[in-house]
Amino acid sequence: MEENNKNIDLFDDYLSGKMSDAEKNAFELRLKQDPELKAAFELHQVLVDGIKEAGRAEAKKLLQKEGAVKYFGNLWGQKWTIASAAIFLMFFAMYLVIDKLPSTFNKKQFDKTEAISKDDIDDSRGEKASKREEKTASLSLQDSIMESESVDIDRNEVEEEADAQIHSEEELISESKIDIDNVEYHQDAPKPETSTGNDAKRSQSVDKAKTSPAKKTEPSESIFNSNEIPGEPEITVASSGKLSDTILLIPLISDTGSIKDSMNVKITYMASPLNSKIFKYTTSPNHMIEVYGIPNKSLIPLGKINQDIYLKSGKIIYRFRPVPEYVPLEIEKRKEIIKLLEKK
Amino acid sequence: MLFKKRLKEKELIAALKEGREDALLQLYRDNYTSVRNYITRNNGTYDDAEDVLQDAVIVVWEKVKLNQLELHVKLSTFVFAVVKNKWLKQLRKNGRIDYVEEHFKSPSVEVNEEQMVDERVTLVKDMVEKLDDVCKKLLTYFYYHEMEMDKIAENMGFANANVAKSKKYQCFKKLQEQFLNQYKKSDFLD
Repeated sequence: MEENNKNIDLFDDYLSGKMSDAEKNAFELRLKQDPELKAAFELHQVLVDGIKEAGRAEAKKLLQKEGAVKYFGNLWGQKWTIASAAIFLMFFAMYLVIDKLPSTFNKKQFDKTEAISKDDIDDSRGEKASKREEKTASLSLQDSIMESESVDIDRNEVEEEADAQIHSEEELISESKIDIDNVEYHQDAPKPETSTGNDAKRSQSVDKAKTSPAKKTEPSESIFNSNEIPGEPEITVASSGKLSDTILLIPLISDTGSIKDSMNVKITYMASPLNSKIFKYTTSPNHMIEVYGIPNKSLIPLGKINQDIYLKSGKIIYRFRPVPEYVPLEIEKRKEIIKLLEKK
Repeated sequence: MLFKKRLKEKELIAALKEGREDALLQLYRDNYTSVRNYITRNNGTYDDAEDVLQDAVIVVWEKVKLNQLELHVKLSTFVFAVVKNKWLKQLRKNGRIDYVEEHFKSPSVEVNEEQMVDERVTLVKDMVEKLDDVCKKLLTYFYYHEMEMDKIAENMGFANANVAKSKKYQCFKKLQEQFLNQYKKSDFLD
């Protein structure tokens, strides 16, 4: 047994090359001289080779189990793959975030600008309203003087012209009052009377109601004149889309209601960016009306009385007076004007 | 396999010398695509490619362990040279080609493989595979992987190198005994 173990160690050392040259030579010499040892060594070699084959086969089995290397299976272990995957994920995340961001961002910006513009307009209105108040105060003095005069004149006229329609002062006043009430600004359009406070507004309108009646001997003009506020806030319209251009044939209606002639007016419908309903009417070189906030091509020509053009959109009659700057749309509600327009 | 640490060339060689299986697998994976492409371009199938590569990787592994390779070129170059040799031999054997393309032989890499396998060796191989796990491991660790005894003891949970060594004697003798019985029989049968 011991002998056998010794031989095994000897053979192993020889085969693995662990022997020194002297030992090796001595062993080889022994092999030549000792056929029994030689046979034992040959057997040992076969066994060792067999074990090696077994080891090889095992290794091969391991590799066979691995089999086909999937491309990504091999790639995953590599750093650059992970890095690129991380970068891709990062960009994807950014894409998702950016996709959501702009809407909120723009909205905020939009809200802000809107708020600013509204405030600005209110402020400027406030200032102008106060100026207006001063003016109307001084005007009301004049008016009151004029009032008595005009009333006197009226009376004289009435008395002199017996067949003329009798307009008592009260009637005039009441009529005028109605007219004032009838002249409405479109709800959406900024009202020129708006001032910083409701009280101020109210007092102002009360003032007007007081001053206007007598002043208005010619209601159709004077009422609108009263609304033609000197400091009308300039509504700067941001560049917005032009919807269409149309040319309307407007009949020229005389005071009596007869149609004298007709004229062409170019109507430009614009898309209203702030949902405001405004218009501009320029008479030179051509008659052109630019209108915001009216449904495209919805205006129907009614006629032109004096300087004003009346157009109908749906059931509403709008009065367009010549103004070089944008002003809110005006709705005509005076019965006699409507009568005149519908007569034709 | 996912996020498995990939060894660099030097680490890979060191790991192969230690007989580490992960190094062997890496050598296989690293060369898989190129070998598969080569074999399929030269009348082979995917299975051929895998078989040849497996053998080639094992050959290179053994050469690295025994310091029989001059590592002045990349390991993959050796693997590829072995693959080419093996594949040409196989093609010739199967009669698929009848001339040897000289350029297939890489001059810088000379790998000699033993082709002659003794039938007795094959018999021993089968016997080793039927041995109990401890003996099989111990013998392959010692003779195939050429591990030191203390390393084997450490790997297999023996108290020390001497315990491992005496166990190795046991296993070797067991194999020898089995072989002598079997071989005499088969010899007798022949």
